[in-house]
Formats: sequence, structure tokens, C-alpha cells
Amino acid sequence: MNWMRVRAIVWKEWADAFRNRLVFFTLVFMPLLFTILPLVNLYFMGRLPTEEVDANDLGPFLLYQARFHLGDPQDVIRVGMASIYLIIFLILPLMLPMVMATDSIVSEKVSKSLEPLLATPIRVTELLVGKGLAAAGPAVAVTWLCYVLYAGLAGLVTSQAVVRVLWSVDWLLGIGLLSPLMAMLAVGIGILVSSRVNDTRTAQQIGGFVVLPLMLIFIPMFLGRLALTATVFVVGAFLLALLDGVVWFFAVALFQRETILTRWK
Amino acid sequence: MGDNAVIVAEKLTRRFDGRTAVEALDLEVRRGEVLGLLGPNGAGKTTTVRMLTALIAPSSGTATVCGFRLGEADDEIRRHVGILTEIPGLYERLSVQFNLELYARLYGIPEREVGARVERYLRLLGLWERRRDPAGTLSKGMKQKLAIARAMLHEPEVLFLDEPTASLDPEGAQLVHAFIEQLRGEGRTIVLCTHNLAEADRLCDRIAVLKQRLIRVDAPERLRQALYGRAIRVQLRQVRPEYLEAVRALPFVRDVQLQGQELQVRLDDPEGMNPALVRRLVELGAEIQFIREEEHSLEEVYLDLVRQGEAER
Repeated sequence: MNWMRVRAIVWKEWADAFRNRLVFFTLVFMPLLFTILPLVNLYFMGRLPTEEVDANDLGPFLLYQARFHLGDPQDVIRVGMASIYLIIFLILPLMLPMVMATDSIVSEKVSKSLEPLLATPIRVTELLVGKGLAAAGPAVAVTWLCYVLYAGLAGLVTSQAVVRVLWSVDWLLGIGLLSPLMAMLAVGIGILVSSRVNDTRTAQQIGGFVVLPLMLIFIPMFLGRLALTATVFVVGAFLLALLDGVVWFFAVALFQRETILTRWK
Repeated sequence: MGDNAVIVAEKLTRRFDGRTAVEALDLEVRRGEVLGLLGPNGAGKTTTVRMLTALIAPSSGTATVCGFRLGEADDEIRRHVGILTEIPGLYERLSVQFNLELYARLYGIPEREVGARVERYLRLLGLWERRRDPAGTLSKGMKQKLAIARAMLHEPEVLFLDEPTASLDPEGAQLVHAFIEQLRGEGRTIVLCTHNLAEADRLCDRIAVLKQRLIRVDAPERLRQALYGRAIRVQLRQVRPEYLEAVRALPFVRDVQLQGQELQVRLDDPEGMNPALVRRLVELGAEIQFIREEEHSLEEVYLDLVRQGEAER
């Protein structure tokens, strides 16, 4: 692996992506929105009168009460809502690299820039790693940054009990472990989809549709069958890593000089 | 393999899903020559270039490019050749300079030399003033020049140019021709795929006519001679049957035809034999108005060779 070449690809990808308004706005405004909305929500939840919360209303969020030793029923609800926003933070590393990876590959296909690129001594693994890092790196960094911002500012709008959960090892582990794995999955799927279509938006829509089933794993959580704890995150990370392996196996197989030049449509 | 050969292909074959794109191609490209690859659409020119630049692997057969064997040292081959693809494939949102800097790094040009090398080629191709502009804002001709600069940046031993003037206006094509002639003057080996036969005639030392198989490879003049021999046309004020007979009787004349007021005379050595021919006609009282060598365009040569190739299949 020649890291100089990987670095050259990463710089090229970033320089190209940041000149694309769609990619730029997706990378800047979507994370901002995803950070501000939960804070606004937590702020207004903090204004709920205590007497309106009944233990029976806790429903699916009861699991958090025991796990994080929460006394106040309102804190339980707040933590429950925060757990839903945690999922939004895990959607970010899926969406952002998908937008970048599909834009990168589809625009290379459309402009026919892959052939001269592949005629250089670059190895396809270097090209793939460069494109992967360029797409996944900012997405993971932005996700982590947004989460830190969110958890840091949460103290201003909600109770300390909620802040404690946001900074708990469980949730930091979740964000820390799952974000890169989600991003890798998105890049892999982005490559698979981009090899078959010639339009960035179609690729993004198909990619989004492909990752949609992943959201199904959150249903047990909404139904109160699953709390987002360290164990859940570790098991989830393991399963996601397996899925990443499968997706990348096919992505690498598709991303060969010969295949790109003769099979990609 | 000749000492002077920079590319030697032996029985190079490529099939796609049962369809043969290139079949048993034997081809030698000599150092410092411009070789034209001619052939109809789908003849296998691009596939040949892709194989020889180690972009795709042959189904069978092999080739040595710049001393490196296909399939064994593909990275080295890519390091030693440059390719201008049919479509420039530039990063249109990125600046002209960035496009070249990227390739300079991919070709492993030392970081301290990247700037100077990029500047040199941008100046050489008249793009220095536009270096900060996005590549997408350049005219087609300028984009093509930028793509040529990109292919030349690492100073390859062999340059493959696939349809370098397709879709260019005459002015743009002329700029590209001038640059190819300059490279030819420097002794650079160039493989030129083109449908533009005038371009091939003007720029190429040898022509390879391809239609899946190699039909013929030689210098344009030698191809003309091989197909048609040499002939002169003698225009007379008045033609008489005895002129025809007298010319036919000359020992060095291979054939003579009457076409209107002209005698079409086939002979091997017009420079040596024309005086004797003219003398004989004048002796018979013929009044010669014009005498010129018969010319065949490369287009005629090409079409006849393709037809010949089809007939031989």
C-alpha cells in the first residue's frame, strides 16, 4: 500500500466533494440540524410539568430506569427520547458517506475519469481505501463532533441525569464503535450501487433503500424490548462488522480494473 | 523481438463473453516511431490499447511493453506508458493545476518536483494562464491538451493516443497535431488510434490496419505500393492506338490503360524509367501535356485493406 497515493486520492476526493454544493450542504447542514433538533426537543421536554408524568407512561423506556438508576420518571422519558436521538446520530455516518461515495464514483463514471486514473500505477486497493477514507472519515468525524456538541450542550437544556447518560461509557461506546462501522457499510453499499447506475441521486436513493432494513433493528428498542446498553452496542458492532465484511467482499470484487472498464454500466 | 522494439505483442487475444474483440494479434512497435492503429468501429483498437497499457488482461497470448511482460509487471508497464483516452476524463470541478498535480503524485513524481513538472507541461501546452480555472471551463481543444499533458507528465517511453482529435474543431485538431509532431521530433514512441486517415497519413511512420486480426502493418507509402504498385499518368493532346501498343511493348512497363486522354502506366521505377517512356512517346509524335505520378489516398488503401481482411476471414 502506497500511502502517498492514498493521500493524493483523499485530497482529490475532498477537493472535488467540497466544490459540489449537494455534498457540501449535506456534510454541513444535515449534521447541524441533527444536533440542534434533539437539543430543542430536550429543552421543551424539560418544561413538562412533573405531575403530568405517570409511571405508567414510561412504557418502553422503563428499561433505562434500572440501567442508569434514574429516580425521576421525567428523566426516564428524557433518556428514552435521547436514545432515539442517539439513533439519529448513528444515521449520520450512514447518510454522509453514502452521499460522498456515490457522488464520487458516479461522477467518475459519467465523466469517464476512472480509465485514465486506472492507467496510473495506483493499485485498486489504494484507490478504494482512498475513496473509502475520504467518504467515511469526515462522516465519522462529523458524527463524533456533533455528538460531543450535543452531549456538551445538553447540560444547558436538560437535567444532569440525562447528561450523565449521554456521557456514559455505554453510549460513548455506541457512538465510538458503531459510527465507523456504519460509515464503512455505507461506503461499501455506495460502491455496489454506484457500479450499476449512472445518476448520483438514483444511487443515493437506492443506497438509502438498501440500508433501510438496518433501521428495523431499532424496532425492539421502541417497543421496550431493548435498551441501548454497552452489551447491545458491542453485539451490534460485531454483527455490523460481519455485514461490513460481506458488503466489502463484493465491493472489492467489483472494484477491479478489468471489471470497472468492462462490466460497469 | 528486434532490439529496437518497445512493444512486442504475440498472439494477443481478448474475448468478451464469447465475442472476440482482438484475435491473435502479432505486432511490433519500434522505438521512436508513430504507429497508427486503424480499423472500423469495434475493430479492437481500444481493447488493444487497454491490453498494452495493462488496463485489462488478454484472454491468451502475451506482450512485452518497455521490456516488461504483461501480467507479470503491470505496475511497471503503467509507470512507463502514458495514455490519452478517447474522452479526456478530467475532474471538471477541480482546477487545471490540481488535475495535473494529482496525476504527478499518482505517478510517484517526487513532491519537490511536482510543481515544476506541472508548470513545465502547462506552459508547453499553453495552459499556464488558465491553471487556476476549473477544468470544466476549458474549451474541448484545451481539455484535450490538458489530457495530453496529463499523459505526458511522467515522461513515458510510450504514449498511447486514442482518438486524440475526435470531437475537436479544425483549430483544436491542428494544435494537437502540432504537439504530436513535436513529440515525434523528440523521438517519442507513439501509438495513435484514429479514424482520421489524413491525420494518420500525416503523422504516422507506419500504419497497422486492424479488424479483430491484424490485416497489414507497414509505412503508408509501402502499403500503397503493395496494393497498387506505382503508376504514372501521361496526358496527351491526342491519343492514338499505336501509342498504347508502343508503351505496352516497353520492357519496364507492367501495365498500361487508356483513360480518356490519359495513359495510366504501371511501372516499378518511375524516377528511372520515365525519361525512356517520354522519349518513346515523343519519337512516335505524341504531344505530352502533363505527366504526374498517380496517387492513392490512405482512405483508398484503408478501405481496400479492410475489404481484403474481410475476404480472407
